[in-house]
Amino acid sequence: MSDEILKNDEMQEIIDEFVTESSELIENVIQDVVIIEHNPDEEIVNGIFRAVHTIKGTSSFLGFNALSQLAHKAEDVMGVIRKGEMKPDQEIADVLLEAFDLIKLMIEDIRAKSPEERGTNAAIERLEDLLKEDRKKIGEILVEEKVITRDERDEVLEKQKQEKEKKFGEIVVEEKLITETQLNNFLSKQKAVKEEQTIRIDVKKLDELMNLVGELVLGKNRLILLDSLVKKGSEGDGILDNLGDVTGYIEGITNGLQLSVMRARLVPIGKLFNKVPRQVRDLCGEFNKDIELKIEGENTELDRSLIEALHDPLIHIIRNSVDHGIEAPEERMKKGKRTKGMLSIKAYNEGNHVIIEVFDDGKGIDIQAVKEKVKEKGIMGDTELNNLSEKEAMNLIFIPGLSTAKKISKVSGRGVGMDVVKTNIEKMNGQAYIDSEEGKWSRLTIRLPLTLAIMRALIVKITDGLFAVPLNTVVELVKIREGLIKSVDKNEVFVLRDIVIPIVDLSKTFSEDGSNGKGGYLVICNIADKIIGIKVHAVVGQEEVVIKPLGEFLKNIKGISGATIRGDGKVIPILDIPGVISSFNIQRRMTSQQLTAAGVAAS
Amino acid sequence: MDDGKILQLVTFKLENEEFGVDILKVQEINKMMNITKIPNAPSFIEGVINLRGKIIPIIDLRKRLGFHNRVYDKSTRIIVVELDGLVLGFIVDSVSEVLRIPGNTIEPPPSIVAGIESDYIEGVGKLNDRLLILLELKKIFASPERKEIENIEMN
Repeated sequence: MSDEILKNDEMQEIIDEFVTESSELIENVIQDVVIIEHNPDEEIVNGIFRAVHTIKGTSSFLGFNALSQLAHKAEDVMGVIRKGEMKPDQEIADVLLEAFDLIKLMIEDIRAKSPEERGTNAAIERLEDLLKEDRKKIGEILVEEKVITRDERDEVLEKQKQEKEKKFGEIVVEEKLITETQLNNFLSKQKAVKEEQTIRIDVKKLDELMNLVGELVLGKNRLILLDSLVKKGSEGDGILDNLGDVTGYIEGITNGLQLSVMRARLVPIGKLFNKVPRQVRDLCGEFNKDIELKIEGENTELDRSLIEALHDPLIHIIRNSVDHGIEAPEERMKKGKRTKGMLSIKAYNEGNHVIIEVFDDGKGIDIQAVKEKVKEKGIMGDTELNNLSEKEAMNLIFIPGLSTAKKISKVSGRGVGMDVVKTNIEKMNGQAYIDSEEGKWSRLTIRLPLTLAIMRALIVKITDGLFAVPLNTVVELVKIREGLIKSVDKNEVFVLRDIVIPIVDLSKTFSEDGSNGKGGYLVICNIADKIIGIKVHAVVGQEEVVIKPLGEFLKNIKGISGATIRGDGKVIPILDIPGVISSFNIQRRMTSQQLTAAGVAAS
Repeated sequence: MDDGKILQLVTFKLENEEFGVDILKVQEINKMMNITKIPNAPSFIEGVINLRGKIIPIIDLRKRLGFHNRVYDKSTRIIVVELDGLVLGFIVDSVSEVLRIPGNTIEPPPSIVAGIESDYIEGVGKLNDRLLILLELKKIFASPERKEIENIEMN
């Protein structure tokens, strides 16, 4: 164990977090192993695999090598079970539990800062025995299935003795006894693992909340008293005054509560980014790369639960960038690139979303290789693949079990990474997509909605319906006057201080009769480099709204990001401005020439 | 169907047909509430309501099952159900009663009942001279429709 790390205060925070997280994980793993012994449920097996994968990864970069090695072997065994090549019977479960108990002890050691020499060799050996046995077993299965003959199997086993690195399956494929697709048939789709349901909170913040709740109870009591007074029939100014008092009192407490809860949940993303430099440094050493790291937007705040859920995906993404993305210095020199590779991580707000970009100037994505792999795995046929756009083809890398890396390394290349990234992000209701130029760069973008957040919104009326427009996207309001709007074909634009702004009339898409009311306002919204004017019939005012998700059933409706409940109990939808813009652009692209013409004509 | 089991059903009416759903799936029954339309939602989704601070989608069962539209009236009800952790409500003409019927009186559905695809029907219960259609709620709100919902575009 690395003493040098333990001395460092900053590292201590990271280690503490690792300890808390890992002990939770390992606790669950131990329980789950007992379950799969009787019921090898695919989802639970995947859960164990990923948990061990995470422990292995984090412990490795924190320098807890013994722990990492043990976890690595346990992961290998879980990998075999996950592929369905091995049934977790009692014997296997015993060995696994032994290993996991040891991992748990080692994590406790780290917590107690009393690193003890614990022999992991015995446990590792037993895990390896399982793997050997499994090779025999898969050979037997293939013989039983009459895919290969007994002689062929013995031959392969003989070969395996010479090339210990290789797995039985690999050799069988190499010898062309079976195809890789056949071998991979059992690779089942990964399913989302249940997310941690607990969050850690500073006791001080909890006390603050408790105080506020206490005051809220006092307020409630005052209300009850008033209520009984009114029921008794006493009237008069006294009661009204009192009611005003109580209302003000409760309003104050509610605001306080809102703030405290928000503050308790929001953390700057820097907490997550802190770990990156160290990780990149270690990875550089391991893979012999030279990388310059840039981090921007550490102060972007994010819900605590999102930060936690982002941890694994970010680790995977960075590993991928360092291992597979950025080339070794010599290679970069040959290609005429700067020898120092560049990895940049950036976080920023866009509307009610947080965007995290991981950019590297490495070799980008080899679309052809991805396509071949997909075909090889039998996921898509030629025609389907040919119909994909370049961007769609790149995003195939998110398919479970797909890794374009030729060999399995300690940190990546098991085909776990990218699909873990995607599942985790999607569980948070976010999106992950990749952009790349082959040979030059690749950029992974994560877009997360700020669910749970409270935001200021402009309440507007479109035909008869009320809608909330996130105030941070609103630039200004313009009253619609005669002649303000220029119309080209069916598209409307108007010119504001020499900028041509396309107009979106949502009444056409949002209401059934599509009546186009006269007058009203244009709400000018600006996101990144895009600007639009939304036609509304009336502006009601500004309000602080609590964003509520529309639920599983309606979560992906374009142009609507959620809803909120107003003081009177009415539900109003919240407009998703980026969504509106993107669907609007689809309409616009067809008439872009006319649009330009209109712009010229108007100015 | 488990023969010896007594089923408890909430029965309701649509058009002239009588339907039943397992009472264990029913969370509550409400009078018609103020429904907020959600633009771009699939047509059978009437909108959303505020159920004590939670926003839940409301499905018009008439539209879903292909009956004609009907103006909501005093007897219109919203039945709120929970399916696999997903809470949603659906609008019916009226709610009749809670029935206890033995499982063995329920027969598998004929291929077409009252114009409804048999996929949506769990079985048909016979009660004296009445016929009760047991709806398979999971199928009614299941995958192809969820897919449809996911694929909604602005136009």
